Amino acid sequence: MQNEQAIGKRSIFKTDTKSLIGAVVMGIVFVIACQITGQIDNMLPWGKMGMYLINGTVWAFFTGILTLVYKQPGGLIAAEVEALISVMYTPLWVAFIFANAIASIWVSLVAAKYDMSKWSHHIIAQAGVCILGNIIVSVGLVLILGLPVNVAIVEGLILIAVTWPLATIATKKVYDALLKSGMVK
Amino acid sequence: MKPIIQLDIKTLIFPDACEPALKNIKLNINEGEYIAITGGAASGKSVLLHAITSAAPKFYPCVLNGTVTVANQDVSSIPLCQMADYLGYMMQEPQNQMVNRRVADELAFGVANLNLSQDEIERRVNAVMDFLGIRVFSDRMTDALSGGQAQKVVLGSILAMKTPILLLDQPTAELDPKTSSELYRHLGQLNREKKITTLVVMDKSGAVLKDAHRVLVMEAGMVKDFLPVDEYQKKYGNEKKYHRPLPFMVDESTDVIKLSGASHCYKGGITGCQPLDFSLKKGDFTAVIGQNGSGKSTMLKLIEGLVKPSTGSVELFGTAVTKKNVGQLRRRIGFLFQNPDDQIFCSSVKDEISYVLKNKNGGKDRNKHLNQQEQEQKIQETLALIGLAGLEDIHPQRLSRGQRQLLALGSVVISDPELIIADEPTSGLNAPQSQLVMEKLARLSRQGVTILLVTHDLTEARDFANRIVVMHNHQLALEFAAAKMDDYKKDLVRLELIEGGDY
Amino acid sequence: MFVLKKLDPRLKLTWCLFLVFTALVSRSVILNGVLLGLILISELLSEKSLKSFKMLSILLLILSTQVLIINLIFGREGDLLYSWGMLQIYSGFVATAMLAFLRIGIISLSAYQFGVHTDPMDMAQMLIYWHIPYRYAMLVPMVARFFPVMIGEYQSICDSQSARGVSCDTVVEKIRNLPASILPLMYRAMRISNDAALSVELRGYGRHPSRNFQKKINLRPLEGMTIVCLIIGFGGVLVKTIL
Repeated sequence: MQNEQAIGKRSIFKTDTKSLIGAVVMGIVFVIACQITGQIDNMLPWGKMGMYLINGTVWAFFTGILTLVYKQPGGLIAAEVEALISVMYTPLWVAFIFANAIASIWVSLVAAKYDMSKWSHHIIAQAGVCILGNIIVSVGLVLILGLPVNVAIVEGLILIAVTWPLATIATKKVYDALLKSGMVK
Repeated sequence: MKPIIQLDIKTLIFPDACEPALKNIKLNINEGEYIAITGGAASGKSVLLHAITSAAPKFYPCVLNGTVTVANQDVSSIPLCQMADYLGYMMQEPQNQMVNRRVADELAFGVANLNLSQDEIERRVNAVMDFLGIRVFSDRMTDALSGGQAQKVVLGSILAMKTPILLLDQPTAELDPKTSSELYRHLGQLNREKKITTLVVMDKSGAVLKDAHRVLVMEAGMVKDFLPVDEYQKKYGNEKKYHRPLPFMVDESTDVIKLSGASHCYKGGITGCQPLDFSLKKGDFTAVIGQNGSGKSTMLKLIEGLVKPSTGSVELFGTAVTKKNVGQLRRRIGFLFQNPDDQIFCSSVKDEISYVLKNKNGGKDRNKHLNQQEQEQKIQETLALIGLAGLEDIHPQRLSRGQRQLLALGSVVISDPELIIADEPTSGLNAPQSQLVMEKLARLSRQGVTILLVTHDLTEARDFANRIVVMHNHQLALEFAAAKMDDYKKDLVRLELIEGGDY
Repeated sequence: MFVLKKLDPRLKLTWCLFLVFTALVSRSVILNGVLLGLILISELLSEKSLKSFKMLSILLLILSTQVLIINLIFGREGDLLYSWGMLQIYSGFVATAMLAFLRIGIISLSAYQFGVHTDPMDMAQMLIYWHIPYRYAMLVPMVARFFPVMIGEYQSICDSQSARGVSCDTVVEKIRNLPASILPLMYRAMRISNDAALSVELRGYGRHPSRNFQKKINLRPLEGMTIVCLIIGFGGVLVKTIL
């Protein structure tokens, strides 16, 4: 069943049943985490203005960590599970489909080049996740929610500035902990 | 009789492990045999089943030096998904093994993978539903099933594939005694009537011995004994049991827990528990027993303040529980849950064990006077108490299930609770692991800690508790001194806790 | 009788995509209003109530209010109605917010309707019909299966953590103690998925390149014709918008 191919230095594909089902179940955890943090953001002043900083951080963290753990197509599956289940609570699901996919592919490309053991590797991975993801979501804010373009740009820039460092720290710490736990090889 | 499973394993070793998980195993299992497998913690029982299924090394990477043959086929040359032609495998937690929403779809899952015709799938699913008596809930959602029903559905899905061998890893570990007897009855019938070769990793109840032919005793990854059941019982049947060494020092004048007509009704009008009148005195060790769904968990949630009483009141340490004071009251209690994984999240054993201590210190608790050195000493004492000294830097997820339960116990006792509430703390553990957890609780009880234990295991309740309370149909049905359990056998049969007088 | 659950999943998906794309492409308030009305009517005809939309509708109303306020403060379309220091209100905010409200409603409710009224097994079969290998297609029913399981796991983790004194009363506590609820859930998810993966492999998952189903999906001629009509209809909207 182990059917792996290599791209660049490291394999970014993992198509065994364990990874596929793991990605599905973890995608659901991703949804639950986004729901919880969305509720926390709603209690905060910036959340009431539509700026989901904690939610954005958790989104970037999960997109990164799940791609690192389950590789592809697991990373994409987990990301799309989150995007599709978000139908239940936000019209931005259309934007999430694209944002999650592109962010997950970016992480895979970084993981193919680096071994993800250093802070710099995670900084690069999360840079792409946060910048690309937030650009797509900002487009969604304009097209779907009808927000003025200047508002969407400012929101996007603030989100990138906050989520990038926080998600980098969270991803590095948890990725190291998962390696230590022996549950991830 | 001809052998259907042949094992010749020199070593089986996992990466990063110092010792092989299995070594020097040479045995044959004959067609139609019913084998019970037993042994202590990390003795290799589950790994042995994984080796037979070829999940080790195909699913769990490891190095296997030796051969495993099933129906004259070397399993190393058969892909894992083709092993379904030879054997069916069932694990402990049924909810983890079901992958479909509807029961009927789950029952058809395996046969549909074999690419059989629609008629054949339907015929096999119907036959299995009739055999296990599960037709009534074939249209139900799998997440709405009780533990016993879920386990039958998992078994049904495997039986529909008509495999000649069944491997089961503690299939009844989370079931109440009556439901687990029912499952073993089905397994016995399958073995007798359909000659299905069956290997079962025995849980602590040992109920499987009624139908088994031989018992395989494992120790440190090796076969210690492989005996017929009667010889096994002669040799191992009289191993020392725990006996209460001291009378319990119960302070009859002080109520630690008091429920006065407390009831709870869930959303949709589902009864959690009927009005309960219950009190737990200081220094007592009370066991609450009852079938799955009898209301034990709701009673605990009421005590823990996780649900509000619909009627009546709940008092802890003489104070009525309110939303405001529940946090303060909880700091005096230690909660030990059925699944240690619900609480473990730190990256090392030491961090996990000290988490509550730090949390309570942060919460202006009475432990706040502890300085760094005293905290360190307390951590080391607790690690020694739970037998995990020397493992403080290991990631908790690397520990066995039994060790993780002990770690959860450690994080409970480190804050010196006055009351410990343990919700089925030995569920899913084997006999030696259960004994270890229960002995730690007994030791705390001797030190004056009040204990409320919820358990399915009647022997455990009898051997360790002072008093037993029985819940049935969401209410308290019976109460008696633990030492007099034998006098209440008829009542326990009436309350559907045991079948025919066996615990 | 018209029952959404009994329709072929391919028709339901086309209907959903037609609504989403039309809402995104068209700037006509009337057309978007008609589409939203059609969703509500189809739901009423099939289910005899709009109960399943209740929770989502509340969320969408809250979101729409936020959008209205943001457009009121920052919108710069139309004529200037009022000015006070930095605050300037333009007349275009009502039309923009109205169009956004209708879009939000159509995009959310159409997708929700598809998700709620389509059996996950039917979705899997639809994907297999489109030549997606069944090892991937069958992940759809697994999402539906494990969603309630993981919600239950999360609930018991929260109960367990709250009972051991990890309080989540204030927003700061909720943020600080987030790892105490999310990390155990991640570890549980890994264990559950490992068990599930081993269990399905040993039940022949991936044994053959294809698999059979107890009940098969079947696209009736009328449903096929409706799909063609919806595609043509969307083409018309697209052409009209471009022209």
